[in-house]
Amino acid sequence: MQAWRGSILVILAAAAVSSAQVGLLSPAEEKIQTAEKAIQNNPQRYQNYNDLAFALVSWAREISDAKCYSQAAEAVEKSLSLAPGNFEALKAQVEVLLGQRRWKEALECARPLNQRTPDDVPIWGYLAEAAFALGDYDESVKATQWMLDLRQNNARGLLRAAELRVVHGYLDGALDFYNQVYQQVPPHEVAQIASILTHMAGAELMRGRVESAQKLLDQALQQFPGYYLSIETLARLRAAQGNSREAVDLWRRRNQELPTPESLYGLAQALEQDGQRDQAKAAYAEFERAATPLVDQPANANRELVLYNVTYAHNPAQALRVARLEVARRHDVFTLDAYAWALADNGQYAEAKAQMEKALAVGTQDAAFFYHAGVIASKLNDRSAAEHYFKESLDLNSVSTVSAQVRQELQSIETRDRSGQAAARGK
Amino acid sequence: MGMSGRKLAVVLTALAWSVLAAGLARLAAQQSATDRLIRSLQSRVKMYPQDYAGYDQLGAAYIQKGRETGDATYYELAKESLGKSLDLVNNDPAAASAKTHMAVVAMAEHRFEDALKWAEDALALGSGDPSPWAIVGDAHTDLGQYDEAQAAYGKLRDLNQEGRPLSGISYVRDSRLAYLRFIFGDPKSAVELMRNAIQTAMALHMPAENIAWSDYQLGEICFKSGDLTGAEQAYQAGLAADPNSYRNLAGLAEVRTAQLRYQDAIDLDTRAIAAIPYPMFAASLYDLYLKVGRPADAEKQHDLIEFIGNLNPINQRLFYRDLALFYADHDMKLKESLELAQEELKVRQDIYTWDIMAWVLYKNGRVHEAEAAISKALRMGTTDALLYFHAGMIYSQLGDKAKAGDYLGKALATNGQFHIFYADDAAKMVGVSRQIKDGGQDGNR
Repeated sequence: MQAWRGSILVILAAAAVSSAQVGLLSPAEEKIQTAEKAIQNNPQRYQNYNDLAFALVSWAREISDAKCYSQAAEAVEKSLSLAPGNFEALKAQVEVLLGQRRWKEALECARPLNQRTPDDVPIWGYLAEAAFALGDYDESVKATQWMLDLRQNNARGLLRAAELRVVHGYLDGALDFYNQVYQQVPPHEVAQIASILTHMAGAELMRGRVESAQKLLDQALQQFPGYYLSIETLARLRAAQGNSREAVDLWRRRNQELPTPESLYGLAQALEQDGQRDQAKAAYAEFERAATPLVDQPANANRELVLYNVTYAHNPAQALRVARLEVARRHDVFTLDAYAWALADNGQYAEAKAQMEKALAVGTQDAAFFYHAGVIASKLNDRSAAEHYFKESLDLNSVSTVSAQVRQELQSIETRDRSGQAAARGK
Repeated sequence: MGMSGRKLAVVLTALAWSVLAAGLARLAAQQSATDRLIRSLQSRVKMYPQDYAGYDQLGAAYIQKGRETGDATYYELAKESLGKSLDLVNNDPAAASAKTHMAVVAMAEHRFEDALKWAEDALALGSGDPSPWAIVGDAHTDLGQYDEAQAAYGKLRDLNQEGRPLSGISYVRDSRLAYLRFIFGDPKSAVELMRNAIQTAMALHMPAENIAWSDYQLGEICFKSGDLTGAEQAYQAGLAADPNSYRNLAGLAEVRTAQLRYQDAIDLDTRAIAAIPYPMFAASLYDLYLKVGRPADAEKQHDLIEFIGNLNPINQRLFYRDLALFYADHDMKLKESLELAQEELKVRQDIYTWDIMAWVLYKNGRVHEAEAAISKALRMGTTDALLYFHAGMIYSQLGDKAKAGDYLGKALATNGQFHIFYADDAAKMVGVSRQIKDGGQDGNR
């Protein structure tokens, strides 16, 4: 029992900042405390450990701390030792695997549970989440549809459906679903409210609606001050507005507690954009040190590592090596895009085009995708496709992180056209 | 307590038990649909001990039984059954129903903070069922947080029935919002919403007990805002829906009292008490017996009130407010009445708890504190003759004749027959002689 007590205290201490900022315990922290007390009162009741595991998973999602998943896994193990095969523990186990980004294992664990209890909505949710992360969007859609058919308007189903709509480029529909969930959430669930608002802001930002995104993020941070995901999105928004100094400040604030390799990369990019070369160099180095050992791990920053090697380190071979590792694990649109970008950087434009088309076929409305597709088309001397993609990128989001490069590319196409016309006239 | 006192207590206890037993025996004889449902669900969970939904439904059936009988022990059974359901399924949208029912039990036991927590927990499971918002709103209402209550009721939208007015959710929303409109001082809208809710309930063939409860709510709104005809019609409709509706019997007794038809009122209150011996029904009967000059019968009701109010810890908690008001109204146990009101205020901060606090403070001679309390009771602008009367009496004691006259005049203008004794008192204080027209259904306006 002592070990349990100690481990939870360590986790609670780690989140002291977020709690102090809010002034109250978050709902997940409250649930952890309740479960802890219940374990103290009745250490032989397996359900108490399940409750603790679920609460820890919720908390891990609130504060982005992978260590919580290990603690949750221990709680699941304890529950299963007290009551082998108990259903709630097996469900918690899948949630832990999903949190640890072990999607294939999560699928393997969730499938027999789904066969055992086919009307269990959360299990369909696990299948949907794992399939989504792996890029099996059709499977994810099927599982999500089951969720909504079994229990209309349930929040998990709507959130999953909203994410699918985002990836399929149906942003208005996604916002509609997010809004429906938002209406359902009770006021004390501040972390969930902030998460929904931040996802909505992310969808708005994808199409350059900066003001709307700003309002949603203001609301999110008012609800749940210091929420890491809101700060990350706000930093991206500032970058889109050209306010790179504030973007740097926000990334620094984000990285004060529990930085991830992805958030270190965000800071490095912001520093570079702000012209702080030495600081950017140091930040990129820190990112590389953090991300490289994780290359073979399920929870990695391989997509960022690919982009880093292409755009900053100029190490095409390393970019492609990492991209191939990741694409062997999953083929979601973002991994496909990173892979295509790495292939292009290695001069393999035809294969890059094929991978990029696979990503675009899903329908995701991401300005960077269109930029990458445009560059690849340009390298393949497909002027009209390149122009089409660049224009799509700008039409979608005129203030995206790649909008400056897109404008430059369009300008160089025009310049080339003019030179060509002049040369033709000269002849 | 001396020897005679002890004997008296024994006699009175026996009397109270006989009243209780008579009520329960009558209900048992009815062998209601709820009883049959309980038996069937008990068999189901015995046969399938892992059936979380069965335990949840059994819990809900116990709640319904508790509602029908007023017997708080059914809530204990409900909690036990719901707890078993939640042991089987907890972190899943499927657990939302059991958590919602836990919230209902907490409301019934006047544990409003707990009710709020359970209902919010149910919502946090994201089941897609908006009904826990009703309990969130109810809990906020009893906690005196009316804006939050309104916001919660606003969430009662049935996404599957969008655009179709006749849904269970629209009934829940309209009936709840009706009460809030009344609290906000808009009885006309309150009546309209409540009538909508009743029509919906009837169209959906909801259980008779629910329809009768809604009619009772409508009757209360009408009575408090001075529409005796509307009140009578509503209570009668409630009794037509469910002839055993003790609430409507007591409501109609209130109307008969206002019409000065005291014997009819006595008969109705006696029937209500035979169904459920609530202290507030006994308090009305106590007043009626005093009014018609039967002090010995009145005294029996007084003893019944004491007995029921202190039967067990749950009853004590449930009836703090009724007992405090009864003592204060009759200048009995004034110190205890204050303690009871203070206990109630710890768990409930709605305008009516502040009103009773104001009244017991006034009766205890703490008139400045009474003024502060009555200000809180009046803060929402509620149109309620009894609230105005209490305010008038407090300001009178404070020597503020203008405000006293104003509030007492408003009490009489709202409902010339608002109370068996106080209406006369108010009239005397403002120098108005009461005129009863049309069989006493209309007082001074």
